[in-house]
Amino acid sequence: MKKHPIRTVIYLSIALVPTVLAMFLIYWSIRQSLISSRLDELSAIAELKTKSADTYFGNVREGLSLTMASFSLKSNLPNLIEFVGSPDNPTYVKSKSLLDPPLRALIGQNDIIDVELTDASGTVVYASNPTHTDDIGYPLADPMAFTEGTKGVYDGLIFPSNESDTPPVIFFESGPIRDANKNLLGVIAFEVDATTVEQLVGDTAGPGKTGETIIGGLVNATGTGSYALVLSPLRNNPASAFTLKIPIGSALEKPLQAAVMQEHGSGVATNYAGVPVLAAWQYMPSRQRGVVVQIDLSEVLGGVNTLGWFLIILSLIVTLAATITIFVLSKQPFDEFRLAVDNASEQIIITDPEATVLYANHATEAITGYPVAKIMNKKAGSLWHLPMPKAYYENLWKTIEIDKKSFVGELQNRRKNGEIYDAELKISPILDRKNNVILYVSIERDISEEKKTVRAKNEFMSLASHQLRTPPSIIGWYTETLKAGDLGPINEKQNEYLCEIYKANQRMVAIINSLLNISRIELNTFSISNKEIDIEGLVDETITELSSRFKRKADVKKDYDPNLNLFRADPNILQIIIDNLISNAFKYSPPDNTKIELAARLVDRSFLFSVKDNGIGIPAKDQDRVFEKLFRVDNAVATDPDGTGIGLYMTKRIVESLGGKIWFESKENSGTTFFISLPAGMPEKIGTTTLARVAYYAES
Amino acid sequence: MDQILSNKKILIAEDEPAMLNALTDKFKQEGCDVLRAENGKEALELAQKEKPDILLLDILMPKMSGMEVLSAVRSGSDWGKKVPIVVLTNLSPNEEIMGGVVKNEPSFYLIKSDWKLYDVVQKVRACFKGPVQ
Repeated sequence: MKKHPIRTVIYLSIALVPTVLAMFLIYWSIRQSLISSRLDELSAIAELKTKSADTYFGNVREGLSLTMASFSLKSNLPNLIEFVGSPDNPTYVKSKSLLDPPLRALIGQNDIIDVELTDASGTVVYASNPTHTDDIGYPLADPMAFTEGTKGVYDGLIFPSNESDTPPVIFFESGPIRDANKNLLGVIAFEVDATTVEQLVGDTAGPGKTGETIIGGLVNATGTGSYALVLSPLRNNPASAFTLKIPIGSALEKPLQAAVMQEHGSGVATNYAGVPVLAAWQYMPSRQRGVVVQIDLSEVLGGVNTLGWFLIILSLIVTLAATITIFVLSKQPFDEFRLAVDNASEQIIITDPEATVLYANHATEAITGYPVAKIMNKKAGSLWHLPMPKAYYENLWKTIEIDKKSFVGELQNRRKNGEIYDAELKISPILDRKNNVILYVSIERDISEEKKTVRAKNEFMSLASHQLRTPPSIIGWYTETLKAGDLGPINEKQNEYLCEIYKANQRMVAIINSLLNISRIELNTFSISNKEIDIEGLVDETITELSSRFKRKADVKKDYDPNLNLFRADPNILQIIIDNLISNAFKYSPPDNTKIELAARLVDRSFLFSVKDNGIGIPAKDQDRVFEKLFRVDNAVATDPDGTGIGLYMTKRIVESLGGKIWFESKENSGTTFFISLPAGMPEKIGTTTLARVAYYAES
Repeated sequence: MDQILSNKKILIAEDEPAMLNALTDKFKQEGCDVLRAENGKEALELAQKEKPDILLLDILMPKMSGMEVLSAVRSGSDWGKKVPIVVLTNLSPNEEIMGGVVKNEPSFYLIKSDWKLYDVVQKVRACFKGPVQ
């Protein structure tokens, strides 16, 4: 079968490109919409956190500003500075007792754990929290809190505390304390527990399982080695706070870099660990910090990735199915079949089991003259078949519907233009797996020309037979008349000569008849009927006739099957076959002791017949040639010099034309047995002539 | 001489003179009154006019075939329906001939080359002997 690689590629492209494209678009739009909604969410979280942090820090700053402005602080701080080394000094005690109540009252507000005061050099001279008094005499834990605090309100960095009596993370909020002349007296610093604000900012409940918030600050803002310092503990590495540096311009954690550079936005990025993330970033002016809320892309796209895999598998299944379908289709060139059937020279019709036409090819229209559209949905052949005998249709339906075999028959049709023609009709049932008829395929062929040829052949044969037989008939009758003495007495020698003429003439008639039979067989123009056979009667009649012709009796033994009456055949043809075999048995057996054994059986729908003689037998060297045309075995020529060499050849041809077989067993001088086997029901055939019996037997 | 055939009027239609002569001589010898025709048309006219006791018809003849004469005789008078007819030919049997012979009984089909003159006479004699065989 021809394959179509280009067509296959086109089919695949047409089928698959839209499928793959549609699936990709579905995947992509879901992915983008998921990312977009997730980014909105992250931005909102970042903004909320920044706002919350701003509010928180704003409260701390406001508290500091109020405290800074206190007159009591300004008037008492110099005393504390002056007498810090003498805690029992009455002035120190007095000043401390005046400051303690308001400053201790601040503890607990806005997570403040201590309020410390320094002198103008940065040394702590006062700690409101009694447990922090050991800080006195030392600089502030965050040196920036002093240096920056002298300049104005300073929002200190959150940093880890290494002391056991303080929370894990703290920051300082500090500011200057000046006298009436704006001279710096010292610095006031709130030491704040940053746990709450860190929890507030770093809360990961919003974004998801892999979500985290990073707070960072810009270090060396103007220098070449500027970097973003991560100030909060990271999800994967809590110890990274205050140690992880992200160089500005590096490929990692771009969101944090942008946030510390006071930008805000959202998008897909790579985090500090090199993992793709969705991130939203924002600058927190209150602390000059960058806030980044981010979540691993894989978590966001977890669902859509599953969908992606599903779509890929679906695409593969569709591809596979399309490929298999196209492969199967390319293996079944249905279009070629369709074209072939459409344009076949013989008319082909497909019908349903009720013979309603489902399909008719172009030849149907060309041959019958009826357009295909007019034929469709009508009973097959109803427009052009001429009525046939009821038995014809009964046989047709029995064959195709009950026996479920192909029907072959001849009938006459009338074209739309009225012309009548001979047709051969073949109908084959198409069965399903349960052996039910699902369709009939009918093929009709215009055989008018063949019929004409057959008729011409037959007319020729008929005429030839007539012309060939006429001269020997005349010779025969005239010789007979002379021999009979009708025209006057003849002497013995004359009689002997006339006998030879007569015998030779009879032989010529036999040869002519044999040759005519052979021509009919070879031209296949003889008819075969299918009738009930009285096989015993037929054989007995043959034996009687042969005994009379050969003028001798034979010892005949018969062994017949009792159910032979079931055998149907053409009696004329069967007689020709049996006549040939039995006459050979007569001819080649001892004239004074002719023994013939006949057996007839019906075995498995076959008729078996055998003729055994006690004659001269066939020498082994000639056995292969016995059925050849005109061949005669040496010992047969010696026994019967007048034989034609046609009998067995003709018998074999007849038997085979009936679908049967002929064979023999023989040994020289020990007799021969001929066997024939014929199908129990001969295939009926309409012909124009019948085969003639070859009646030549030497007469004296 | 034969009592059965004596003075029986027999029409022999045969276009082959040698055969016609042989048959004529044979049946005359048997005592028959022989009418001769050398073609079908002549045979039919003679038959209708003379109403012979039996007809011997060749098939292949000029002007009208033996089978046509057979049909024409049978479709005519009462005599025509009953008169025995022997079709004597060298044509091989076929459905048309055999159908015609069977349809137009009493009629017989003999192949000349297979039948001796003696046997033909016996067949004709049998036609007058009684029940047709």
